[in-house]
Amino acid sequence: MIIGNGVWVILPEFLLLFGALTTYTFGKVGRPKGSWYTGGIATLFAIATLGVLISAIPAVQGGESLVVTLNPSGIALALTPLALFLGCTGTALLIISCCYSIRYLEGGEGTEKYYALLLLMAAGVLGIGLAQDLFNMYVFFELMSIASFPLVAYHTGTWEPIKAATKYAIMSAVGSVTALFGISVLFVYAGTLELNGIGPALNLVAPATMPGLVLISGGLMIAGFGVKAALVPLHTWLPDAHSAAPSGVSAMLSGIIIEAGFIALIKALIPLFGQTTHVSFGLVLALLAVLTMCTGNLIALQQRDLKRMLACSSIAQVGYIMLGFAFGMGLYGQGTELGFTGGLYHILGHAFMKGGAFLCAGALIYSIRTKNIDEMRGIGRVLPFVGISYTLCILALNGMPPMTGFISEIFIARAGIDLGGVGLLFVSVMLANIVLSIGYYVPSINTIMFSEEQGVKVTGVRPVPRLMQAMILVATALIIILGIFPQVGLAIVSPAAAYLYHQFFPV
Amino acid sequence: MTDLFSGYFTLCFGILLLGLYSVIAQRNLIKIIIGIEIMGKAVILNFITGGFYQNNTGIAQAIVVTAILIDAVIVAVILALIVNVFRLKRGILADRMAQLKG
Repeated sequence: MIIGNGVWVILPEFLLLFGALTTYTFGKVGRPKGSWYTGGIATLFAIATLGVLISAIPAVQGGESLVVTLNPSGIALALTPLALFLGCTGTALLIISCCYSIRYLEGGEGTEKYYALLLLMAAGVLGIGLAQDLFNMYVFFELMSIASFPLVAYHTGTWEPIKAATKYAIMSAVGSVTALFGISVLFVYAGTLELNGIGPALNLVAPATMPGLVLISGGLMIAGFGVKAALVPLHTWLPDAHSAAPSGVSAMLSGIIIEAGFIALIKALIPLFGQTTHVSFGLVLALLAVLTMCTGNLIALQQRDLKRMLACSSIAQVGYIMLGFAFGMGLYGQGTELGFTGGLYHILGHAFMKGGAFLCAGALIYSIRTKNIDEMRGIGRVLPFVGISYTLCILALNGMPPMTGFISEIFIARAGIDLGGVGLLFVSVMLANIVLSIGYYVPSINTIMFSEEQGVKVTGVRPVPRLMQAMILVATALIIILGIFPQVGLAIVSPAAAYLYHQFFPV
Repeated sequence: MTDLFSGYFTLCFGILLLGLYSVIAQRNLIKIIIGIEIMGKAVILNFITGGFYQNNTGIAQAIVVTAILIDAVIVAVILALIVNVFRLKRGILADRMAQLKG
């Protein structure tokens, strides 16, 4: 039953799902096909969803959640501060991506499927935040994954997207089945999958089996959800999939989908956390984070394809986010709330930094029809707006003040320093990685903006449409606003961080 | 309460590893999908075991039906992708996909 406040929980999810249906129907029956209005309808639904979510901010500001129980057995959706954060970030990026794709895909076939799938993907992201039991979270996780496979393979006539999507789909399917096995192990021992109910139910389990149970279940869930979050041994699908997808989809995939996968992993670890002293999830995640950021930066150094380079840098950025969460969970014992703040702020910033960078890359590829950085020499002088925006996004990714990447990296580093001990070591590795990442960020800016000689194709470029430029402007403006006025971002990040901290360390 | 390495759990975990082996070792994309399906079946079996032990078959049924549905959707999407692979390359061997890059 939906009464009063419950409508704020159901309405955003409903708007996205209903929007997918409406977009598809209108795109199918409307004439002419593949026209701008499919994108327009999708954008309108996304704006409405963001509006509802923003108007719900005051209700959850104090840290309490709005809960809707769907049936007597206790399956519930709750608009927690974390769900609100994930929903706001995802939907804002969805608006930018939908609006951008209107001109980017103009004249193409099958746009109604494209926008419907984009909305379904965003519905999955929001649902991961809303779900209050592990199985429902898995269902939304799968909704997000399944919608993203066809989007990567959107240009079905060419080999690269099909190959990337097949690889992505197979790895992701194996990963989600593995994660579900971890969830099922929890179900065998706890008999319930509610996030708040598992912990008390596990108290009945014999203490001798506890370390093994936590190790098996947690290990399977880290490995399973880790495929989506691009933890390092499982990241191999990411450079292919993110570079082969249409640029609007790449922005969504890098900006929010891998982070949503990571949030799913964190939510799945909440009931297992603190059950045994033999396993420190914070330390495990911190080690994986170091591996992830080093590998991501090192493989990004060798890329000559602009979108592949950005995709590899996403792996490194997920490493920074993971390190923040690991500090939040504590390496040994008590963690620090600042770590969650840093990780979540980096998710928020990264959505627009990497989203913006991918949109700029898309605009450059749209006008010059090549992905190779070397052939883009000097294009920034021909397309100054896109060039300057690209420079700003890349500098923000590199953690240059006054952009948003700087703020979140300061938070994460401060959290590590507060923890002390091994935390300092991890912080120094992160700083070394930030320095290392200059090695590919700055040369790409140099080639695109400041190259004296121009590439062969640079002279006859297509102009970039106004709507695409406007969306790039929105993303760039958000980066700078979130960097100069952190309190804007902290308005949704701080409650979410406090919520997560209290989930891990109940008072 | 059950021991961690009781017979049922070992069986389910064994089936999961069997499916994983099939995904890793097979070259044919269809056989890889069969491997994913075997892994899915291991998960379903484990949920049924859980429902049996916890005397809570209602929730286990609801979960299993949904899990089967999701499995079917994933397989349908991957098969659709494989049809496209076949159209473009006239073959569905995974190792050829890596070689025929470009």
